[in-house]
Amino acid sequence: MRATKWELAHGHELHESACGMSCAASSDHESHQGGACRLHESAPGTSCASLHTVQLCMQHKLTHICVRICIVTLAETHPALQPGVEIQEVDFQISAGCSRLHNRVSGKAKRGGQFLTELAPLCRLRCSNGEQYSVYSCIRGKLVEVNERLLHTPRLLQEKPCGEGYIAVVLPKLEESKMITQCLLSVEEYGQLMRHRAQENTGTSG
Amino acid sequence: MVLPGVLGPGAAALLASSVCCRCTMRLCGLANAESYRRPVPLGNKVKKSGFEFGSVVVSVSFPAQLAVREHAACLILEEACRAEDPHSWKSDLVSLKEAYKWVVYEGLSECLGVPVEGKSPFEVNVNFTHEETKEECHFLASLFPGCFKPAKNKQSLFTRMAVSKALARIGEDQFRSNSSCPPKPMSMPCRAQKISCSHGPIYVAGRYNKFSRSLPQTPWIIDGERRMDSSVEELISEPLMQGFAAEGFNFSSSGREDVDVRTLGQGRPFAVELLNPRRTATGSEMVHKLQLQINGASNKIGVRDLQVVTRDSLLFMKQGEEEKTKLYSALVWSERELQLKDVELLNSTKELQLDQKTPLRVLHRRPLAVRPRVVHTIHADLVDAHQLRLQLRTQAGTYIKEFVHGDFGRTQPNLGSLLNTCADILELDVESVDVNWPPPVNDTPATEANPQQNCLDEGV
Repeated sequence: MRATKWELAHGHELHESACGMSCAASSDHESHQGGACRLHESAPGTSCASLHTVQLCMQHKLTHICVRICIVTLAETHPALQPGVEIQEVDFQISAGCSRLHNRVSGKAKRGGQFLTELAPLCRLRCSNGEQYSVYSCIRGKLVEVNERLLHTPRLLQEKPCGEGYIAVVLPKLEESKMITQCLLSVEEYGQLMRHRAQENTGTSG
Repeated sequence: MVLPGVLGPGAAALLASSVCCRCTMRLCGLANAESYRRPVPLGNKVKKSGFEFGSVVVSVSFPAQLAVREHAACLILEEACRAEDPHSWKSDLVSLKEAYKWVVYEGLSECLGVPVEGKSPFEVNVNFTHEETKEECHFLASLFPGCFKPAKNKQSLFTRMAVSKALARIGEDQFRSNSSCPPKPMSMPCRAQKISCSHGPIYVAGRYNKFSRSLPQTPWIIDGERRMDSSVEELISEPLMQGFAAEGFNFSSSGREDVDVRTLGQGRPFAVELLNPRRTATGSEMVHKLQLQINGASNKIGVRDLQVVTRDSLLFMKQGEEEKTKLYSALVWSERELQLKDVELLNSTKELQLDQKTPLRVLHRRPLAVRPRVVHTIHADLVDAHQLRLQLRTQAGTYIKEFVHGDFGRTQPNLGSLLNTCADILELDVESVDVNWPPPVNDTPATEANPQQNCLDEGV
């Protein structure tokens, strides 16, 4: 992906181009733990941070700023983002005793933040077609914040899934931060993987 | 220290030796103190150190075991005075440090040609040791082990502090049975083992311009690897350090800018603390030369109003950081096409209240918080259908980049929300840092780099 002039200045990619990828063949209501990761390295931002955009779990995307902070968003391939589907509610109450809205952090180290593992749910999406999807953290780390604007404006998620419609901000441990970056695929590698899976699906379904 | 008519055998023994048993020096009796009164070796060492100074102060340290001898001498005096007023001698007692300074100062001052001043920034430290008596305080460790805990910085377990703590606790009988009272005479006096000189820091302040979009303010080093060449800090401080022959520096400024942001206009106030400088007798001429040197060495930065300042005046610099407004110029990109009415909307925006969550790009090292900030005025000019040039006057501490691109919607309102578009920032310049310090120096105009100098990203 060529870095445009505005990407260069800001170091932040506002729109992820789909590069003609086909939809992941998942018919589950729950998002598919594909383990496919994508790393997109934009030109080292002339701002202090450069962004690595990472795609995990096929429907989740992780934007990893090189200084450890990670932003979890939905990938464009997620079923909830497909045309004809409307997200009516984003629910951060993930269990009887735990709501991501109650997350509080203090200090530079973000003490008190809820600790997340890869499969920790962040929220649940309720769609107009009756489907429900859980959105997962995909990385280990402390939950810094969830996007509360999704509560009263769920359409942000569909209009700007990679920007204002982000799901959450996570801070992995310093020692795990490098490992996370290394486990990721580049844009090209991810594109290949998606095409490969699409071919497989058309193959099996005939 | 001499009490005629009440001397016991112990006190007499003290005076008989030519080296004082109490202090192992030769201060008692002016004849004995000759070598201290004319401290030529000391003076020569100080001169050799290469420091420039206008006054001097001496600090002296004596070996810890002397406290034991002093304790013994005090017991003898107490015994001698018991018949009369038991405490009268205490007020006459002169501490060894004071005695040494009285004897040394006059001669040293004459030798060096400068006055002695208590507050002098130039300090000569004299450290005495006495090998012969080194172990005389060791008995205290076995009696009071709690006082003698090994500390990381100290070479020896027997620090003056620890010894005096133990002596404060020891009873007279216990002392007399463990240590010789009166103290044994010895042959050699204390030796000044270490003489060192140091000068208090000198502060040099000024204002800097940054013309490069690829220069960090402080060195950019990650995992021991330097990620970007040089820095504002190094370009300014290293020539100063050489000019003042200092050992180190601390650089501080009234706020700072990102790597890719230029600082134009009058520049940003800064101050460099030069540590242990050898060259201190500096007039404004040398400072002006340094300014020319810094400006000539690199076209990435420029400094002006370079001057020596007092430590107290640094407060003005930090005050500005929080209180004063700043003026910025930004080149902004818009996703949708812009029209004149968008420009008018921005121009009419006054005192815009923002809520800025801690930007994601600094969130790893700052606490999560929401900061209310004000954009006082905006002046917009259309560059083309998708680009605007903005001049913004904002409250100190406003994140301009985040105001423009919205930071995932975490700065509200933002330029994108105001104009109902997707916006991003292409270039940012600091036009003015409104702090009235340091005071301007008259002879700068000819030396400043052209503030209209173009952006130097690739080649510089």
